[in-house]
Parts: sequence; C-alpha cells; structure tokens
Amino acid sequence: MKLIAITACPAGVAHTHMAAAALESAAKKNGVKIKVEKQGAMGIENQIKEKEIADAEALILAVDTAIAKPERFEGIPTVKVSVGEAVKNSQGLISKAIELTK
Amino acid sequence: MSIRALINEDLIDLHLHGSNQLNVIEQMASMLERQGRIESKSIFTECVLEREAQVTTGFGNGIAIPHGKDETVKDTSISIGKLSNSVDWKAMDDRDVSFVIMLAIPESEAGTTHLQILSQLSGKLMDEDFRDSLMKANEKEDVLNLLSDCITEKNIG
Repeated sequence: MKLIAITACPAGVAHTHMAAAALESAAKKNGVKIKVEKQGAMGIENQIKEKEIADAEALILAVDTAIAKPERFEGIPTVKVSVGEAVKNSQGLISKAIELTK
Repeated sequence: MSIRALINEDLIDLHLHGSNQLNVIEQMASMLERQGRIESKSIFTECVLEREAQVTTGFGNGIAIPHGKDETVKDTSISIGKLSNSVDWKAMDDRDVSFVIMLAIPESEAGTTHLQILSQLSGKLMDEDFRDSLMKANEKEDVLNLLSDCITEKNIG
C-alpha cells in the first residue's frame, strides 16, 4: 500500500508541518507507506517524485490553499480535507485513503 | 542554528495568568514587543486573531499554537506561555487551553532557516511524549532545552 499526500496552510509553517507529521505517524501505525509533500513558506519540501506518483494508490490532500502543480495527480483516487482535519483526525484520513484503494 | 535566536527566557512565562484568549495573546505579544521582535503589539495581536478566525490553532490536548505572519514582524520568534488557569480557545477537541506556543513569522522569506525551525517544532508537537514533557516543564531552561533538542534531531523529511 502506497499513499501520497500534500499538506498546505495559509502561513505555510505550523499546520502544514503538523498535518504532515500526523499523517506520517498514522500511516506508520497502520503499516502503510506514505510520502507527504509539504507546500509551505519554504516552498515545496519533500517533493513527491514522478515514480512515487505512478506507484501511488491514493492521494490525501490536506490543504487550505490552492496547491502547486495539481496536474501531476490526475486520475489518482483522492480524499480532500482541510489541513485542520488532518491534524485532528489523521487516523480517519488514512483509513479513508485505504478504503479508496479497494 | 540555535533555537536561542528565536526564543529566550524573557519570551517564556511559566505562570501566565490570562482572563481569556485575547488577553493571553496580548500578554504574549507584549513579550515580543518588549524585545523589539515585532513593531506593534496591537497589529500583531490583530493578525493572530485573524488567523484564529479562519481555523482555531487549538489543536487539542490543551495546547494552542497561535501565529501571525506579517510585515511588522521583524525577527522570527517563539514565545511560550504556560497558563496558571486554562482558557477557551474553541479548540478542535473542545478542551480549554493551558499551554500556548506563539509564533511570529516575518512576511519576507529571508529567514528560511528560522522558518525551518518553526516547521520542525510544529511537526514535533504531534509527538505525545514531546508535548507531555514540554507541558510539564517547570523551569525555563528545561523548555529551552526541549525545544533545542527537537530541532537538532533533524526530523525534517
């Protein structure tokens, strides 16, 4: 199971990184691989590579702003929520994403 | 890069008594203003409240991470308030907040290494053990050491 995710918030500092950490930790608990790209105040960090997009079974968008380069992800099953939701309920989001791959 | 460029003992209050969310934010903004890290306490407070109005920064477990990004912020800074009482923050889990980490973020992207520290700290707050130790710290020096440890771990992916 390979998931990809993008987190982004208006200031691009606090919630972007909180959501990313929450998703990474929830994925680990579920034994699922996840790559989380952070689009924040420092630009794109931990950018998802083409190969990872090709292998991804689902995408989680935890964003409160428009994301950069959305065209990369066409055709991938996607759960989209606010960045706050990912901080609050990362476990639920990972479950939803796993559901999408079935 | 040391965390001490962003925070020092005079930006930490471990016995902060605030009557409500606004009062807590104002007191913490005062600490920043006294050190000349922000140009104006009132503008910064306004900016932090605007951010709170979008979505609460009370992310649960009694902690909030209010922040303001504005051109009137001169130096990237962190201030910490451990409240002797707890206040309503419209938190995600509806619990009152008793520990506040406030971030002041300049508009320009010049201080990237500083922003990186704030980002690492934010991510680290999802770690329950880290949160517990931070909230239990009774000495300013302990708070500074905890923060300093979390940024040297290089936990950015």
